[in-house]
Amino acid sequence: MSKYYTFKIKRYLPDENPSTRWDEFRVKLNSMERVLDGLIKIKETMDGTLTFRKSCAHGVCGSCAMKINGQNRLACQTLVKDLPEIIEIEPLPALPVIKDLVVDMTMFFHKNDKVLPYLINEEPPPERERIQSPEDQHKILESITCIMCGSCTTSCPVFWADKEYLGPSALLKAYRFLFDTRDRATEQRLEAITGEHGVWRCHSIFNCVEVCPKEIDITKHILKLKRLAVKKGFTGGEK
Amino acid sequence: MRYRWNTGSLAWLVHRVTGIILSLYLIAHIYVLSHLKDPVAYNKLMAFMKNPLLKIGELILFAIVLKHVFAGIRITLLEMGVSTKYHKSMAYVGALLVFIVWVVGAFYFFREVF
Amino acid sequence: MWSWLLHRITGVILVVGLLYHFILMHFMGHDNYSYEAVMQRLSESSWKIFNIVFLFSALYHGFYGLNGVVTEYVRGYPKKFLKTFLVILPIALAFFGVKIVLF
Ligand code: HEM
Ligand code: SF4
Ligand code: FES
Repeated sequence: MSKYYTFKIKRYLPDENPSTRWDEFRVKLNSMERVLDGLIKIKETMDGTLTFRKSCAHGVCGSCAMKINGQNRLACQTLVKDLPEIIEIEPLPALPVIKDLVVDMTMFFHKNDKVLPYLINEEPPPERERIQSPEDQHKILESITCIMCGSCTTSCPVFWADKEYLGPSALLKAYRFLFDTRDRATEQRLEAITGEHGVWRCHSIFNCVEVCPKEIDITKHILKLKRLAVKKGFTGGEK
Repeated sequence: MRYRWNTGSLAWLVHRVTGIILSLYLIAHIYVLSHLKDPVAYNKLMAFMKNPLLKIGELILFAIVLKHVFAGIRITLLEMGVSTKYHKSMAYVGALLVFIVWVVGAFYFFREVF
Repeated sequence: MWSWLLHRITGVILVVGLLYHFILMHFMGHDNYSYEAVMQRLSESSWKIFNIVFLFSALYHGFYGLNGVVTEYVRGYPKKFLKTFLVILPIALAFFGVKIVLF
């Protein structure tokens, strides 16, 4: 069964006009279609200048995160039938907008770099690979499923105010290596996340958990990071 | 910017706002009390505090303290390892407890006015 | 070091402290906070110790909280100014507070 939806889209086309505006499009979509299908239809049949990111269209690449009806989601994973007839779409909050729904993710990826997102182990590697038992993998399984879409970090009120805050996504990445039994850089990693704008800035607001398209309980992981930090003698930031 | 509110974000906002109010109150509280070293000044303040309007102010402050305390207990429990599964229920139960304790406290407050 | 953990520890101390503070000062009738009663209590050393711990916990907890708020919302020069202010003010208040309790 198909139905008409009104897409209200926040537009920003800096080559034409330095200010933002809201455009409305009426799109007919069936109940199996997603917000991304609506956007593609608009771009192909109504306004070719509409700009947004997408790649996989199946919730694995993380490029189509945007704010849909007041909450961050993946456009390719949000069925229109679950939304009201008026669908409001904006770029992810608190990041510089490049054009329409495309934001500059540099800041987001830079945070990721700060938590040393690679395995650190100076011990000579075994002949084939550093084997991980299924039990050990289980410890980090949830955190590994992150697709780095940026929904969580840009949904966090702390990040909105404090752009230096590492944010849920980077902290989750820190968890992924801190709890990896093959990693040896515990001290160095804890040092990296316990600064003034690190893990102590998390106030367990849970906005990140509400939006994560992979349904990762990010706050649970951050709380575990706090407990690990305290156990290892990192009991506060700065000063 | 408009963004959808959730249980967690509302709980955080209320916790933060009450925390700031309490800290400002603490400053005034210590400053005022430190100027009360003789019985005359002290009894004058106490008589002044009997004013029903101030009693209402005290009740509001009492509510703010309770709200902050229960929000703080919720966060502390989460940080000590209570499952995040319960974070919403903890917020609702906390709000209920705030209300109950406030009503009981208000009863004793008012008993003093009359 | 310790700053964050101490904020949580003082939070827990405050729960107990506030409970005692409220019951004594507000719910047990007027006789409990007449000038004489307050002075009588203040002459007991156990009460003094309780109040000093309560005072320092509240100051630390409150100002650590405000410091966090400044960290998140304030930038540049005003941030430096406010952060300094948030160290000096509680020290001054601790001085006032200790004066009430001990002298
Ligand atoms: C009596 C029990 C109390 C408990 C259990 C408690 C607990 C907490 C906790 C856990 C936080 C951290 C919240 C976060 O990270 O978001 C907090 C924040 C705060 N508290 Fe308390 N608190 C108590 C009393 C007080 C009192 C009496 C004051 C005022 C003097 C106060 C002032 C603050 C402030 C300013 C914050 C910062 C708010 C923020 O960062 O969002 N608290 N409290
Ligand atoms: S944790 Fe979830 S919301 Fe955050 S970047 Fe990863 S997939 Fe996106
Ligand atoms: S297009 Fe890849 S996640 Fe949506």
